[in-house]
Amino acid sequence: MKKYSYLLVLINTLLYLSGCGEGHVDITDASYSPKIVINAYIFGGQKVKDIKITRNIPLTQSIDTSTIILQNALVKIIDLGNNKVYTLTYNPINYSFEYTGNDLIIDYGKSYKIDVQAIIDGQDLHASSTTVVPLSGLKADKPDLGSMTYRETNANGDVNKINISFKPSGNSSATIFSIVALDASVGSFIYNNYYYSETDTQKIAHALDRYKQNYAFQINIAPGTQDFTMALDWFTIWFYGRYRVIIYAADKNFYDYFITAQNVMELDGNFHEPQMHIDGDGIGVFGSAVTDTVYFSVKQ
Amino acid sequence: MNVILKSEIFIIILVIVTAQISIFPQKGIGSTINGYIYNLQGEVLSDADIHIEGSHKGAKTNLMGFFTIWDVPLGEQILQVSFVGYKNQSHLINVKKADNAIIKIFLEEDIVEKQEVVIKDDSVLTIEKMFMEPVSTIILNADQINNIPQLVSSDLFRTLQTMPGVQSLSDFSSSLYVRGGTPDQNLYLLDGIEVYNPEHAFGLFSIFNTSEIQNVELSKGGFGAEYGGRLSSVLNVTNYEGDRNNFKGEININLISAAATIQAPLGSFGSFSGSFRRTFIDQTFAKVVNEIPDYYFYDGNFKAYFDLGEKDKLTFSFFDDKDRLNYVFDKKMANSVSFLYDWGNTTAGLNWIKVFSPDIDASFGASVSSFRSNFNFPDADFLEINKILDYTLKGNVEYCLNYNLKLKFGFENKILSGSLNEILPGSLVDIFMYRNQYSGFLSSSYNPLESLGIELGLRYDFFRSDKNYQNLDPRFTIRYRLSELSNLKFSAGIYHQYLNQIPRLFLTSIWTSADQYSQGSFANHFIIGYQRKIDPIYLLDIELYYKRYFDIYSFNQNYLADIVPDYYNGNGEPVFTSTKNLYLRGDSKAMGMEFLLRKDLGALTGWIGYSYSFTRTETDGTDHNLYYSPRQDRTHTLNFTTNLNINDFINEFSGKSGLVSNSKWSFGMNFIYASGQPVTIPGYTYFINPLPDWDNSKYNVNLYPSSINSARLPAYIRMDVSVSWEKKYDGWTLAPYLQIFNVGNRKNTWFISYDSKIATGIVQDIVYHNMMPIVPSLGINIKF
Repeated sequence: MKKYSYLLVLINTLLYLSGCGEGHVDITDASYSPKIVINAYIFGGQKVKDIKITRNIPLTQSIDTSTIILQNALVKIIDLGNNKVYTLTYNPINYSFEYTGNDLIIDYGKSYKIDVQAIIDGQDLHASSTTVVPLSGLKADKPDLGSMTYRETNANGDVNKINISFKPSGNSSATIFSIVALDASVGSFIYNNYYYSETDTQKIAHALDRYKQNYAFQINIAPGTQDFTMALDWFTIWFYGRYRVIIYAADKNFYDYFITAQNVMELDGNFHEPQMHIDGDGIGVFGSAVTDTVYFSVKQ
Repeated sequence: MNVILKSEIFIIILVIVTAQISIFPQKGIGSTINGYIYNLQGEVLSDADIHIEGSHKGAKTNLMGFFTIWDVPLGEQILQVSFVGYKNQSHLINVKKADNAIIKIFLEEDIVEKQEVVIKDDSVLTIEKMFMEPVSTIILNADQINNIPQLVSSDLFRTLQTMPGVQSLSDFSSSLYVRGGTPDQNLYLLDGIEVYNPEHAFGLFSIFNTSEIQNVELSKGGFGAEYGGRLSSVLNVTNYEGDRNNFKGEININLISAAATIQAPLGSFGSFSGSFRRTFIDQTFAKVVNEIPDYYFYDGNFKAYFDLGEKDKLTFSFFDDKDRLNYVFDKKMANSVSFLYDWGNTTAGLNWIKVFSPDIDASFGASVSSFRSNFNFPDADFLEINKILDYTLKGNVEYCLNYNLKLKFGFENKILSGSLNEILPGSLVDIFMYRNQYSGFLSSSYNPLESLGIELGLRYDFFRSDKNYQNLDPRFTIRYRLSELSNLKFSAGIYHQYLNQIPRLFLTSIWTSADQYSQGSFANHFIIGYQRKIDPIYLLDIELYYKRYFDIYSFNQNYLADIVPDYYNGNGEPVFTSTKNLYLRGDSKAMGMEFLLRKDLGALTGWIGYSYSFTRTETDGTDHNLYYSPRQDRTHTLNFTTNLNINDFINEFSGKSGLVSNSKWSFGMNFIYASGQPVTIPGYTYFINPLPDWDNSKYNVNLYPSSINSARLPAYIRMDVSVSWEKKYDGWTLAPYLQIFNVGNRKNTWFISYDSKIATGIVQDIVYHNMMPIVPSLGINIKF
């Protein structure tokens, strides 16, 4: 009896002890291979500029934004309509590549290719991607929507949306709305918003960028639609003051990167691959868009 | 598998079945005995085991509790009867030639006194019982489910997860992952009716109220031709039919819910059983703690039994459950934004069981099963309504041609309709599906020798969708008695499934079906099992399995980039009416070895389970189409589950075995060790603004995944304990209990995330998100 009891107590104690503590995940084994990171957008009717070419960094290494730039990279834009090649030059002021000549204005509806060669960690790498620029025609009905009260209601007591009416571009994959609070600060934060009450100004300061820059998007507007209205949710509004909304009529590269790269982490914490349309040793985005801009203000 | 190969298999099966019928031996010189097995409440016990002592002759009761044993030697024989959760019985019978007498045996529930002395009589019966059981099958009764310490209250799914081959993904989900399969590959049957979303509280609990469960049978693979439509497993839950003689009831109250169950006779012609369970946190904690949302769930069962004569039985069963969450973002704030989410199942069915003759019995059923969910988030302009409705007609006939050959055949017709309507900002989802499934099966059970049993089956499916599918699935099982103490079993089969699930964490999953974009999935099972009785009280079960899955569909996480509208509405917004590009096709394979050592009798009961498993999946377009470990792949899993009746334990060792007490103390323990789950970790970081006009900030650091699921989370280890005291007085039983989930308060990692921190450059801080901490809970069970 005693032996049996001691054995049971011993087993239980051992099991209990093993059921304590915590585990750790080792991320040093994460697979890494050097990649050219392309962060390039071209816009119909505009020059080629702000093309950022950088490198990736192993997960365990800190990112120094000044040293990741591949300023010696050979970056070319190719007009696939006539196969003419335009070599970009590095601009150290804004840390990006641009085409300085006057013979390249991005044309609506045309295809362009980016071609990048660079040496990273002693390896000669090459990456390329092709985009089809959306057709012209994107136009906001009103460039300035005026001002509105935070979550203002109509006569029925329903909350009014922030409606942006526009004429869509012909062949874009999606229309993306970049909503930026121009007067964002700890002081202009809407503390008594309808989602949660926050009083800790330090928390707001810490996450200011996350609150001030928001987005909305509309996929697949019917071809031939003459006028479309996008209703922005009040979820995107966290500050009183002026707002700028840049409307991007985006090509598939732009939209796919935008919608997948930001959501590579699933709800259960696992990761999946984003959709990038880069060939070779590269990641990132080479997208194109047609743009227009709208402003409005939110008051108390 | 192509049609030609299937036709060949079909011909082979036909030849074998024909050969079986033509070569079966002539009837023996003994007599046939028939009878019914009931519990003391008069409920029939189906699947009870009956054996003639000193021989290998025996049978299992059918759905009427009826049994037939052929060719029993004339003269005095001892009939041994057993049923899980009931005391074994031995009956002396005098077998005469052409004896038409019906034997009726009443079993007593084995609640308090689990005396090992009974085992002596049971020494042959147990291994006989194991021989008769289908391969890869776990049978549990209510006691075994309720005695395991769990999270707040006993739970069927979490109990099943203590068995080898049945995994879970996290503490927050009770979903079953059986032998490398996914939850949507399990067929959940409640009193024979399919249930589509068997989870409460976002997956935390199962919908089956354990107070109402009479017994549970889980087939982990190799199931017979009578079952179809799923690739991995069949869970068959049978509720109580009600006490034929007395009114009785049970009440359970714990910290979050209360449940009541009653059973009563319906005059002299039947009985009924009903239960209701509801959480009350919305009426208690949520009223005073702002962080606790206004949430509840309930479930209710009703089952009635009607005797239409000695050879006819009718049962009616009804089930309904609902979860409702009214989530207010900030309860302190007037007019705070909120959303409402509710979901639930409803099932109802009528089943008629008919014994035509001692050789032929049949069951015919009609049922309806529905699931609906509604999500309404007005401030986000989001409304989702999801419905599924299933009308089923089915019938099974069992025909004993001879003492060594039994045929079973049947049909099933399902009329399925499902819809998903979503109103999203700027787009609409309007999917409606109407499907028909016709199935028929034929199987034979042949025992050419006393030590050999062969089951052959064939199932035919015709699935009508916008594209039609038809398949023939052969099934094969062979059982061989190696010795008086050990059995060897082998099973193989092909299984088809026509439904797919879009899994959604914290939201109910959505069912879709095979159509022109995703064809049906199928799997091959191969299982070898060895069973041995060790000593008089230990049972060892070892199984090896190998499964191949083909055309399995996983949710496309990048679906927003791939979906294409089917048409546009008047506002120019896209409308989606199909599942095109919603899934990624793939194949999978799973293999493993499982050990289960059980002790079902005595003061100390429980089991030790160990499984070594290996699952690999390939998904088109993912990681260069290479095979990878899916999330449910856990290499090693060890379970140690015990329940100790402390009074009996002390009595046994003080030589007072056999004493029956009006009170008892019990101690329960559940320990689990499982290898860490596969997880995809980022391979590297890169810096890109999400939109061209956004400012640079630490939030622009992006993570790029490394090879899919190439890393592992830390091992999952947990120990739960429970202590209960049961007191009987004047027909009442009072049992307060204490349960402690994760008593070691181990921090089991659920997942890890990364936080970009500005230090010298931008560095990635690993943030651990842990599962459940230590959760003590109190409750009380009252029976009358």
